[in-house]
Parts: sequence; structure tokens; C-alpha cells
Amino acid sequence: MDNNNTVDARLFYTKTGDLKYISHLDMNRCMQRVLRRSRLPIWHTEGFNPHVYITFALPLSLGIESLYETMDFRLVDGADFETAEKLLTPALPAGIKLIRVAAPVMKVSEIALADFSVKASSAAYASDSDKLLTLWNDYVEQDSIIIPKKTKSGIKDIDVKPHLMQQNDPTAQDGTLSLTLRLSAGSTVNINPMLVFNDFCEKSGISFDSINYTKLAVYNKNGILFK
Amino acid sequence: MYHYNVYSIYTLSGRMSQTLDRQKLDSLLSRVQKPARYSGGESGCAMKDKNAVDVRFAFCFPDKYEIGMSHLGIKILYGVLNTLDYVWCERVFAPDTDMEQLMRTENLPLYALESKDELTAFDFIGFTLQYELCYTNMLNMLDLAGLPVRAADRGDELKNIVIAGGPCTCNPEPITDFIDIFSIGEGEEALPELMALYREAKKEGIGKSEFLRRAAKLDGFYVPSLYTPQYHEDGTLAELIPTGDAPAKITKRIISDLENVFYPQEFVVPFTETVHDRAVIEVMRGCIRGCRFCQAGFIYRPVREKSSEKLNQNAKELCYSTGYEELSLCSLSTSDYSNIEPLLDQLLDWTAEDKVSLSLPSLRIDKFSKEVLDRISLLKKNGLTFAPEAGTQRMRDIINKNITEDEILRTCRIAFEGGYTAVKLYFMIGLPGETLEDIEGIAVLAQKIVDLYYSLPNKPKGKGVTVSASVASFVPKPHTPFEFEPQDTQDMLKEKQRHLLSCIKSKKIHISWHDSRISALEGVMARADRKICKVIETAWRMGCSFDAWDETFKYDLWLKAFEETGIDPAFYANRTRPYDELLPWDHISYGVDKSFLIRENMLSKEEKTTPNCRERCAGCGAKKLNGGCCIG
Repeated sequence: MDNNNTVDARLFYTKTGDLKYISHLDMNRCMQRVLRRSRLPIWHTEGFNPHVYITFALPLSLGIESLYETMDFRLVDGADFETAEKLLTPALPAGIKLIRVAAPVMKVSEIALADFSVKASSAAYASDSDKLLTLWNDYVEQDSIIIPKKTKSGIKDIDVKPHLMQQNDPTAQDGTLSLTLRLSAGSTVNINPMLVFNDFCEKSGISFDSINYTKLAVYNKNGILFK
Repeated sequence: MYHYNVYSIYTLSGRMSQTLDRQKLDSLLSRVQKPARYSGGESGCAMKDKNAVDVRFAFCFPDKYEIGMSHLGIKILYGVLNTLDYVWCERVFAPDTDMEQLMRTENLPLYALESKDELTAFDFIGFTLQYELCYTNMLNMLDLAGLPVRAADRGDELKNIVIAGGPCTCNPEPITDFIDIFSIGEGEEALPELMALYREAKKEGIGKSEFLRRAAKLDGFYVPSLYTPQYHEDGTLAELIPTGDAPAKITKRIISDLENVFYPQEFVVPFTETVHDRAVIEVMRGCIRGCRFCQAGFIYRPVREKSSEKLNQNAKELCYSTGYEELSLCSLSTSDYSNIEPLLDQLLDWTAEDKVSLSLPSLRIDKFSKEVLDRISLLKKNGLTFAPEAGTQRMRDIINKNITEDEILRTCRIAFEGGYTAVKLYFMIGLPGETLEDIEGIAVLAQKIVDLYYSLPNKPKGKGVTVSASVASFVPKPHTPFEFEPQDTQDMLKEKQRHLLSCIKSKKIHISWHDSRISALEGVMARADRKICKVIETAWRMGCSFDAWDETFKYDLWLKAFEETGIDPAFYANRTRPYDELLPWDHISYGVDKSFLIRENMLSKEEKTTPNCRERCAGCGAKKLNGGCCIG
């Protein structure tokens, strides 16, 4: 295939509901099949065992829903973004919704920040929601938040304080604590909201009945939406 | 392909929503391994409005998701049932041990993947039984659903009918205490008939027992509660007495027109990896070979083939709708499919371009033309697999495995010259009439393949050869010519295993076994009567489940269960059964006459083979199932 005739494309999509239980590896396989089902003309890797070429900007951890995921691929044979949207939409499983297909504006390496919503409910705090808020504020207002983090070279203590901002004021109502966190993301430092929130639960001695995590958006270092 | 049902004929009275506690489910799913096995939502799954259907069917596979989702039968019947606008068929698999533990401690009942509704909300709870060692899983699933495992304890209300089908039901007796009704044979036409009968019964408002009495009159359905066994003093069966107008003999159902019967145009495409995750076309049913140990070779008769054009269409539809990158040809012996070359020609026309790899059986590649071989070799090379089943020609004649050493070596030679370096061989030990010489023959054959490789001047350069032999223990099965034969005891099997190992001289040969204790249990389950029901229930109550998995198989508990119930496993497994004994499954007919099985058994003792069905009809009797038609 002629590389000169390929067009870089970026699929923006949401992954919600039960799809949060689909791992990154499974998503990769799923999207390859979505592309095959769509019969959209796309570029395949060359060589002995050609396969659909796709790359994901950021892997999404198991258990997190997302309103802003992206996947890059290449169109061939003159297919345009409009055709791509039309063919991909019905090929996606319920739980993955296409937002748009467009030309990549930023490089994946520019990704620096991501917003997450965290909603945690505890029936035990239903009539004492203010306590939840106090505990969270005490936690987040520490000078440093040291969390042991698993890395390739073993477990390392990391201070997440410089990598954590609150986008909205936290709220607590009827035993549900709601947060919007902006965390460092990308290839240099990537902070998983579960890492922070589990550490909060552990250090504050709270056990929630349910915790929902949703990725809201991804940005570059200047806070401009990744496109 | 599946549409929401937009109308409701009548509202069913008293149906509870029985929808699961989602928050609790989420809390469990965040804690288990591979939660994608329990969350559903896969592409191709059938979603309907539960208030707009009259019959809800929970199709249960009594093993893990990754096993069940690899099974073709469930895909076909799921599709067939969901084409009926008044039926919604959903899937249920056995939760893995970590999930089961959480479900029990946190009191979350077993649910179906599509609606996430509890199993008690379903009209039918259907199990497909592919191997005997899943029986405890079936009980476990009923229990996880909050249902009594014994049919007699489930009441007379018309709901939660427990139905079972699949090859194991060719001897349904070991699980008759648990099952309300068995579907014998192929289900594509029979199940819709049963659904229609149930829908009427529901309208009429009759009870479960009356419904079952009516269902017993449909062809191919067996209602065990309508039959009473009488035993001789020695424990063998004297008589199985039907009640009322229940038929004395139940004959399996077959699809006469395989060409035009429903075949799914789409599959549920799993997110998580499964054992076989690919598009599958069913090229034929039945097998012309008649290997005497092989139950499938007898219970799926007569042989029926699909046209290559139809198969090509099935393959295209499936690959397009699923996005699968691999296509496999399924049957008991695909290289015996008459139109294999035209089929490959048609498939290769588009699969290469679409980058779909073909999974082909490797036996008899010597039958193919050079041109087809070259085209296949453009695709990915899978390993080469043979099933000689036995090490010597004498033994292969006894079991009627009509493959010669020359054929094996000739095919290996073609394959090695084409670049293959690995061969996998399947054998059995513990076969009727086997001697230590036959065991040694396994080692000798493997060595000949190794020697052949190194003798070839044009073998793949700089590469060694690997010959892997997987050695299973033979289990005599109902409806085969060996249904009369005693199974080797474990001591005998262990002795034979030791002997085989002592005969292996080359490091290029790898031997692997099946656990002979698992085979011993399988042997009991396969040919038991109703008395074994209480052993299965006792073993399950003691904690047995996933018996087919080495890491969860608890043989000591099984022994305890036999002891506690006073049942001697050797009575079922290791005893020679005389030809005139009434066998527990003799009331279930697969079209193959018992007199034919006896004839074949006698021929095996004379070490005489029977030609395959295409060479000469052996007169097994199965053609009467198809109006006298068979491939002759």
C-alpha cells in the first residue's frame, strides 16, 4: 500500500456503562474488529502478518468510564472523515459512542492533563455528608500526598500533590461525595484517579459502597482540549 | 438482525421484574478477575424488551465464559430462539471461583448477561451438556440462582423449566433427578416447537406437570419424571416403565435439510479472549468414519453436508458482521467433506484480500491439488495435527481408525517440506484389547516422524522438529460399539503410562497425559443409571465443581461421595456388560440399532475394520431418521 495516500484520522468516542469492565487489551481487539466490521478502507501494517493499524492516546484503566477517548488510525483509498463516521457508528458495540472522526490536531505526546469525576457513595454517611467533605478537604489540603505507586522498577513513593488539582469545589450530599479532579496524564507522569481516591479511603478509614470514576476530558499542558 | 418486539400480545400475570441490584453487581465486578466475563454488552448480543416477549429462555453453559463462548451449538440455538419474536434467549455461564465466592457471601443471585435479570425470572433454564464432568457445575448454577437442584422440589408453577440438551443427554439417566425435560438430538426445529407449546400452556394457565406431560408427546423430548426404573437384584436395569402415554422409546431429532436450516448470520463477539474466538461455519453433520470409540461418530448420524456455495455465503456473512480475522471450518471430520476443494477455492477468493486467515484441518493435505496447497500456504501456518489414536495398526483396526502409518508419514513429509516443524499427535490408552506392545507403538510412531524429519534433504534449514503426543485415557461411551466394554482401572492406566514413558528415547518427543482420575470419573458418569444422581448431588454438596479443571478437581471428595451413598463406581465403569443387558440409555434412540453396535463390537474383537459410510453402507440404521436417505 502506498503510504503517501493515507490520511491520519482520530476517532473521538465515549466508553460508558458496562464497557468500563473491558480492559485496554480487550478494547484494542474490539476496535480492530469494529474497523473490520465497518469495512472502512484503512491502512494495515505491512509484513508477514498484516493487521489493522490503531493506536490509543491513553490506556483507560479497568473500571473507569470515559466521555473522551481517542484512537488514531489511517484512512486509505480516498475515504473521508464523514464516511468514516457513517460506517463506524453502526459497527460500534452498545456502550461505545462515536463523538466524531477528525484530523489529529495535537500530537499524542502533548497530552499532559486529564479531568476525572469521582462519585463515591456510602450509606453510613447519608446523614453526615459534611463529614465526608471535611475528610476529603483535610486529605487534599495536606502539604504533600505521598502514595506508594507501582512502577516498572518496583514500588516507589510518589507525591501526587503537584499532579492534582480540583476543577470544581467538591460537594457532598446524601452520603455521596462528588469530586472533579485534574490529574497529570500522559507518558511522563500519569496519575490514576483510583490511586488517589483509594489512598484517601485508606488514610481516612472510609469504605464506600460504590465509587464511580469517569474520565471527562484530556488536555495539553496549557489546559487546551486535546484534539 | 435482532429487533425489538414492538407489540405485546398479552400481559403475563404476576411477573416480577427480578432485576439485579446493580450497585451490588458493580461492587463485585470491581473486585473479580476478568470482569468482562460477567458484564455482557458484547456486539451481536440479542437485546429485547422483556415486557414484549412471552417466553424468556436462559441458555446456560455449565462452564466458564471463555469455554462456553467458544461453543458453536450455543451460538446456533441462541440465534434460532431469538428469531422467534415472542422469545428472548439470553446467555449464562458458570461464574469462576472468585466471582462465585463473592456472589455467595454478598448474596447476589446468578443472572443472565443480556438483561442482568435473575434466573428465577426465566421460563426456561436450559443447559447444554457437552461433557459429563460439568454436572456439578449445573447443580451449582441452579443453586446460585436460588433454585432447588432437584426437579421434585421446584413446585408445579409453570416457570423455571429446567431443560437439558447436548451430547451427554444420550444417556440422560445420571441427571434425571435434576432435569425437568431433555431435548434429544438436534434442537433447531425441536426447541421452537417446545416454545410454542409453552406459550399456549401459559395462556391456558396450566401447571408445570401438565405442561411436561404434553411436552413428552413432542418428538425428541424426554420427561424423566414420567418413567420408573425397576432393577434386578444384581443392580442392573430390569425395566423402565413409562407413565400414561409417555413414549417407551424417545428418538432423537435431526435436521433433514441442513442446507436450509437456520445458521447465524452474526455471532456474539466477546470482548475478552476466549478459547475459540473466530467465525465458524459448519460444513457437515455426522461423520462417515465410524471409529468405534467415538460417541460423536454414532450419535450425529446420518451424514449431511452443506453445499460449498451456502458455506461460502455463511462464511462471508459472519466475517462481515463480526469483523473476525479468522475463519474455521467445523465438523467431526472436515477433510471428509465432499466439496472441500471447491469450498476452499471460493473462500480463498475473498479471505486473502480481506485478511481473514483460514483454520484448516491438517489431515489429508495430500488430497489437495498443488494449486490449493500453494494458496493455503500463503496464509498463516498453523501446527500440524493428527489423531492416530493408537500406536499400532492392529490396535487401529480394533478401534476402526482407518488411518495408516504410511498416510501419516506421507502427510508429515509434505508438511515438513512445506516448512512445518511441529507435529501434534493424539493418542488414547486403555483401549479394548490393548497390550503393552500397542503402547510401545505410540513411541515408535513418534520416533519415526522425528527420524523422517531428519532424513529429508530439504527440511527447514537450521530448525529442529517437535513431536508432541497427547495421550488420553479411553472412556467407553453409550451408543458406541464399545458401550459394553470395561474401562481400564487407574492402576492399569498408570502402568501403561509408565511403560510408554520408558519407551521414549528422543528429546524431540513430548508426552502429555490427561489426569486418569478425571477419566475414571467420566467413565462412571457416562454409563451410569439413575442411582448415580445422589452421588452427583452429594459430591456437589461436599464442594465439588469444575471437575474438568485439574486445579479444582477434588477426587477425594468424589470417593467420599461414592462411599457415603453406597454406590460402587466399578459397577458402572469396569464391568463387562453382556450384549443382552438392558442398558440405562436403551430407551433413547439415536437411530443406530443396538444390533449394529453388537455387530461392530464383535468385529473389533476379530480385529476387523468396517469401511467408511461412503465406501459401503454398514447398515447402522440411522438412515431411517432421514426418510431412508444417507450418503450410501
